[in-house]
Amino acid sequence: MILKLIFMFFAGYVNIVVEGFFIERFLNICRNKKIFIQDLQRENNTYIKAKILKSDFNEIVHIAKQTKCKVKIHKKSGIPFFINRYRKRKIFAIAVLVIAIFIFTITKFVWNIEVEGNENLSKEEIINIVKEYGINVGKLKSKIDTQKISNEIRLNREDLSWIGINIKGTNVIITVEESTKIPEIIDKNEICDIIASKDAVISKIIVQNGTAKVKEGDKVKKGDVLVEGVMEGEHTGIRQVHADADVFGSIYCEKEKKEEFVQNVTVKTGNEQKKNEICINNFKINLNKGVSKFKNYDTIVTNQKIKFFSNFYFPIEIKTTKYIELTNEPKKYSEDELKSKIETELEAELEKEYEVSKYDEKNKNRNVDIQVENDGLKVKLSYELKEEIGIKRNLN
Amino acid sequence: MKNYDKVSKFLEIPREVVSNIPKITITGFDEILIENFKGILEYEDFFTRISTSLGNININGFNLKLNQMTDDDIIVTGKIENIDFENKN
Repeated sequence: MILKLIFMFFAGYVNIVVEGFFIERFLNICRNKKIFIQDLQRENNTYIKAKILKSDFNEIVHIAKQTKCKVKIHKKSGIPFFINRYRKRKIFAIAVLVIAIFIFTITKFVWNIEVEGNENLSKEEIINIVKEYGINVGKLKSKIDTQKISNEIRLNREDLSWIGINIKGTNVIITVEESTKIPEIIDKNEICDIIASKDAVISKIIVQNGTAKVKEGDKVKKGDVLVEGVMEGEHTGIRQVHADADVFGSIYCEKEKKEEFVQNVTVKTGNEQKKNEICINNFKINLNKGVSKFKNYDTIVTNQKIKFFSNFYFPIEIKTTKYIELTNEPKKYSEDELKSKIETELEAELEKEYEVSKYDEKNKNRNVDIQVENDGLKVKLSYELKEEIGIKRNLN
Repeated sequence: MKNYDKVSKFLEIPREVVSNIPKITITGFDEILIENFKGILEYEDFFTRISTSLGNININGFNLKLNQMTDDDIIVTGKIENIDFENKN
């Protein structure tokens, strides 16, 4: 029944009203001509309602003439009539079709690459790595063989111990596991030297095997030989050995900075301005005109890719630029404030260069030197860092 | 019965398939399906007369509708009061 209704809907059907005295004859002729009649209902003596297929209508009119009945169309329904009704809106239908095809084709490409699990390598670096193997934004998804590519990367890259590539929607998710480099282990029987790994001052040297080339208090540079793998004996003469020693060095680092009590400090005024841009690959559309109206400002740029659901990214980005107005205001620091301010600045600089925080508390000596001058403070921060600096180098 | 030969009987083919005798299926008191009918003799909303090869079928009731009419079956729906047959022979 439902199947029949669906068929009728697709073929198009007409609700007709037949009026006349010989309705039974009319119906019998319809039956003989194999016309499909649905929902026949008598309203009164001379009047029936029925549903017939669109294609049978011409014949019905013909039969009605024969039997001296009148046929009126009450309602037309079904897809052929629907199309006919909207035949003037061709462009609209075409546009809908084009958009559907467009979305369909767009989802066949990769529009976003996400990286997970990276620590030392940046996201850009990993994206560059996978680009070499053929995964980049705008690539056809079906041409990416994730299994093959991840295997190749695993083989060729030593700094990545594992890489997984997942395609979800238009999104490629790259999960990496970085490997730490294992120091070269030299066999006990092989001949080797010990060299310095850093510029330092030797604080302690205990030689178990080999000949020490430096003594405590010596300044060494990176790569200098500390202990040579040579032994001189009275009876044995000169022979080469596997050098073994514990060498500790001190690294001295210091930074100095002078700042005045009264300084110009940049302060946010609270005024903000937003600008939106639409980026399609490298093509940009500015939604707001001109540059910022502020004199001094900070800019914060955020990019957001347009996406469908959670994983269907489109190659369209919305770039929002936020301008925050800044002003310079003089500020007077007290001695303590200025001191802690300079110290934290210096600390950050040293951290950047020497990675101070990596050392244990007992292996570092902190020293702060403060000089008060008439209009400012001069702070000198120095660290003494103790570390084992000897590394073995194979002679062969 | 004469159209129903021995082969069909042996193969257990339904009688209404091999001959043009009608098959009447009544579902509840509101729907009658008549297969292999010949024509509609009378149709009013209280009385319907349908001819078949064996004779006529009279259906009395209220609000009778001819739901789905194709070339060999017809469904009559509505509030059916009584049915009777007019045997030709």
